[in-house]
Amino acid sequence: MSAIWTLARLTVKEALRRRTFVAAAIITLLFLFIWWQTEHSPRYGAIAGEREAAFMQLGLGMMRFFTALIGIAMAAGAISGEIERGTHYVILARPLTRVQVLLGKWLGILIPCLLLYLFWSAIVIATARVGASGQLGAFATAAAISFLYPLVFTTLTLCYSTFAPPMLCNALAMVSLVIGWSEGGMRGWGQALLGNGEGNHTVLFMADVAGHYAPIARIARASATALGLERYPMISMIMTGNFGEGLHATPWDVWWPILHVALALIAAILIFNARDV
Amino acid sequence: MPYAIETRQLTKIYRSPWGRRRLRAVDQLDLRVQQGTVFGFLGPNGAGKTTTIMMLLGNTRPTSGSARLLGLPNGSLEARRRLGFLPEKFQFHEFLTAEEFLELHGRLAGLSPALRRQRADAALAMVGLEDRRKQRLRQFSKGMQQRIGLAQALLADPELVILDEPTSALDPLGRRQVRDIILRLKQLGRTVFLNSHLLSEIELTCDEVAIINQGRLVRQGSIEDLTAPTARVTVQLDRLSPALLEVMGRFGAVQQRNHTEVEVQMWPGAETPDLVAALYQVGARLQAVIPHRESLEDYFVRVVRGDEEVANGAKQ
Ligand SMILES: Nc1ncnc2c1ncn2[C@@H]1O[C@H](COP(=O)(O)OP(=O)(O)OP(=O)(O)O)[C@@H](O)[C@H]1O
Ligand SMILES: [Mg+2]
Repeated sequence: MSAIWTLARLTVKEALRRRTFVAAAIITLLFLFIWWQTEHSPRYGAIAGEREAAFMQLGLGMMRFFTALIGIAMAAGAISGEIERGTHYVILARPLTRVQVLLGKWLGILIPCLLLYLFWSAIVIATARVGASGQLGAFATAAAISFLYPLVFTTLTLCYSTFAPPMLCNALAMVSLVIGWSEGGMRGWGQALLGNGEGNHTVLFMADVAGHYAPIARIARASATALGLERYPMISMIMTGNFGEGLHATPWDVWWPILHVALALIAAILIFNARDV
Repeated sequence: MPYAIETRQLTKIYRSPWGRRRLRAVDQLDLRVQQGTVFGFLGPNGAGKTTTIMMLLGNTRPTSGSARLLGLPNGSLEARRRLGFLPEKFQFHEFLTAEEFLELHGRLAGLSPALRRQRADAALAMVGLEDRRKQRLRQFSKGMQQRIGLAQALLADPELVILDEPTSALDPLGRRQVRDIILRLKQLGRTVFLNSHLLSEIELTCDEVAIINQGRLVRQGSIEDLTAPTARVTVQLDRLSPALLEVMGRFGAVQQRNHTEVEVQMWPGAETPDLVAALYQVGARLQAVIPHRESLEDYFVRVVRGDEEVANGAKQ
């Protein structure tokens, strides 16, 4: 355990050395800009609390997406990249298992991601007046669920990095994101075709596969449900368009991403153990 | 006592991505290294030395065969707890200072905090980097990086030290320091497995050497046993004559240096005392007879060339 912790601290130190936090600062400015936009948009506000809900929804969406991007950037070079650079040779000659090395990396990447995520949560809580509208509990639940998004993609990228060099890893991670985003579109299209009587189960099946491979829509849906966004027709409508399904989440929408992380970690361990360094 | 290193038919075959080309990087290698010795592992570029070391450490999986370190399976945690390693491609986490780097490795090696500090100080002193302890590795010169790598290898006071070209980036002073460190380790009863192209250094430090070429073991033995003791003899006389040259020609290939000195490259089996006796008999007035032990470098070149000729012959 202490070896995992030592390696995690090394990874955190490395993250601090990189320009990760310049990116984080820029994204924080973006947050504030969007808050200002939402504050002055005439679109929301018909129902009490809708503006705040819209901002929380937007804020959570940005928090999880940008944390995922930073996690992906850090995980992409974690294993193969370090082996290529040669920094792993002296580490792996120490009495450590590769499982420890991998878990050390994983924790070392996720800890800065989590800290950043908490910082952005604080900004959203302050600017969306979450406390004043009595939504703190709901927001905390939604934020916890939304963190599954960076967790899933960081772990998946770490798994890619056990066999792929950094550039390829980044590319694979982006492809995975696109697959996840395409789920709603495919589902909507498949249902439309069914409605025409052409019965396109293939497209719906592909949407299912995409949704399992990169469960972006599930996480967003579970998070939105936790926020109680069904109350606001405008937000509901936009989100339903994105997911291609109703807004109401099931427990599986949370359990599957958790299982996904576990499976990706197991795959990463198996591949890393089998390869030469 | 188990061998420090023992390999049995150790083989590594690299395949190209689609499996069309195969490369036998290490081919049925049988090595035995006694504990407490300094062992030189020699071979031309691409002979498979680094690949062998990677298999010993458990970083690379052998295609077939096996290896044991200190009686333990290669790559086992217990074996790695008892060894120190300096890689050929030394690249460290450059954002750490020398001190932090050794602290990290002390932790990973499982040393107690007090021991970590004590060993780090000793290791820094040993490689001559005491006054650089607060500097980041990024600012280190190549030779300094190799030195800190060596400090890292020696940090946990390992029983077996594996060094893959430890002096490739060092200045002459650094090389001598490394030589002294190796000899000190030997005095302490540690085993050093050393891979280097600087054969004069190997000659000064190693008890035994193995030469590999194209993945195969070509020779293994002590330097004295391997290098012929009197392969070449310098003979100095008052005056040379055709008769004397003819006598010397019976013992080896004669090369006249000047009118009082010749060099005789002895035939296999010819012995220097017989040469002296024969010259004395024909009335030569000898000033000096200087036998030259073959250098390890000459031996290395001879053996590797010979091996290549044999290999080429076999192909045709
Ligand atoms: N990862 C790899 N994939 C494919 N071939 C490899 C790999 N690593 C090494 N080789 C090949 O294996 C052979 C042995 O390489 P190795 O690095 O062990 O040589 P070496 O004896 O250490 O040489 P040098 O003295 O140049 O360091 C070479 O032909 C090399 O091209
Ligand atoms: Mg090498």
